[in-house]
Amino acid sequence: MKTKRILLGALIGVLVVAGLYVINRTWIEPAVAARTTSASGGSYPMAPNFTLTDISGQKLDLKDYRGKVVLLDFWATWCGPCRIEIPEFIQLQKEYRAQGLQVIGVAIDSGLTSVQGFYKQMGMNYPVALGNDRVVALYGGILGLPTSFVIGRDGRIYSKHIGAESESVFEGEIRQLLSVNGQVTQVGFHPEGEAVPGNQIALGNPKLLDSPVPGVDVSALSAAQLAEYKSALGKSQCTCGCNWTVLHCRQVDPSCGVSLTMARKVYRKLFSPQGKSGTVAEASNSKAK
Amino acid sequence: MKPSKLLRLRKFPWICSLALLSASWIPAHAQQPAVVKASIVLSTDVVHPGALAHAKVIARIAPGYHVNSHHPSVDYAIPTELKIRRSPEASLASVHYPEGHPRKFAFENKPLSVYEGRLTIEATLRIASSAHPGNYVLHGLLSYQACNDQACLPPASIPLSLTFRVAPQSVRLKPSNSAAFKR
Repeated sequence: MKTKRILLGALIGVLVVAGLYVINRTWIEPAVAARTTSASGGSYPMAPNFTLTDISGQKLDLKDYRGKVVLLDFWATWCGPCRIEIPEFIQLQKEYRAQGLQVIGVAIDSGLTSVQGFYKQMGMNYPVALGNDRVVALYGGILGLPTSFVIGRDGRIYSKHIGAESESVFEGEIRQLLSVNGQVTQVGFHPEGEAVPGNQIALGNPKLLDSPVPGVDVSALSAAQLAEYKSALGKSQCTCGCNWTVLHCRQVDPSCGVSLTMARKVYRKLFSPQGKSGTVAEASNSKAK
Repeated sequence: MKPSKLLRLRKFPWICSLALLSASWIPAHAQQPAVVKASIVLSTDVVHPGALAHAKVIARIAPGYHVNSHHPSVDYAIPTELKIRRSPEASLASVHYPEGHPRKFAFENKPLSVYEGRLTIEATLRIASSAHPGNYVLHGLLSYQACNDQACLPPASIPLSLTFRVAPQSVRLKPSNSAAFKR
């Protein structure tokens, strides 16, 4: 009887241990692994590259700064909250230049003169260029100014701050990124600014932005198919009220949702076997191949 | 937790993903939130050729936001401005902007002259003597640049259109849009 109890107890013990092992392998380990991956640099988006001409006429190419920590600031001279950050950025640039910090300003102003005047007046010590719609779209659209991105030495965006932020927050992030080479594995940034999974930084898709039909990925089309597509769009009248063809409206006003919908519909009609039922992505994998 | 609530929560990431996906297709300026809404109204039901007509632009600025007044207190600020496109039947004779409210913000040492909440701009229109009786549309733009105390939105313009009817002198003018023109 006693032996039976011992055997039963041992069997229960073995079952409990086996159960815990299965639970660990099935749920806990993948969850921990996922968390570890999320905290690694791999989950942070690469900063889209852009080339602009700075206000002194020099080429400003973001990829030239790979290996440095970059504070990319979208700002404007007419924006009070942006102006208050500039002396802080000048100070940060001065203090951390030797360690590898590069502040870059992208001004969302309509004219160069006001930016040049402000640059001189403030004694700015980092490159500033006039932005354009493409760069703004590449960075996911700038909803408010200032918007600043903190980019690591590996070219990944580690944080995004919309609105004026205190110097200490930027300094903390910059110091942390300066202290590592390659990917950052641990980040303890300001929660609101940190690019964490679930709070992903939305970036523009260069394939869609640079497409001859902005907003539609035509990379899978042959030259003949593209010509056919553009011809069809050139014959369709946009119904947004612009009085242009769909093609012209897409090219002149990429923000027009009406022409975008119409352009996608034409794409599906021409290149998807399902016609209206297929998505554009599906279409690019079917006839367009 | 009630099943319906659970279902809503389960759907939430999908809804967010779809919203993000659709937002990512829209370029920058199209994503700007509608911070200011505006319309233009006339004080009378009809207007007479050769006479002046009184109009008001009524704008509502979203809570938490402000726009610079027509005479901002700092030189870098973009002023609020009303523009009316001249037509053969009517043109802008004068505009009266309200005084801005002085408001102190963390980002500026001195108070800024701003508009908040409801904004009313008075416009006097000159109706052409040659205007024939009939219905016409006058187009305009209200330009502004909005900020809250942390961030600013790019300068924006709201298209305005005013439909008006020119009537012979013999037709008596009746008050219109009394709520907007109440003194």
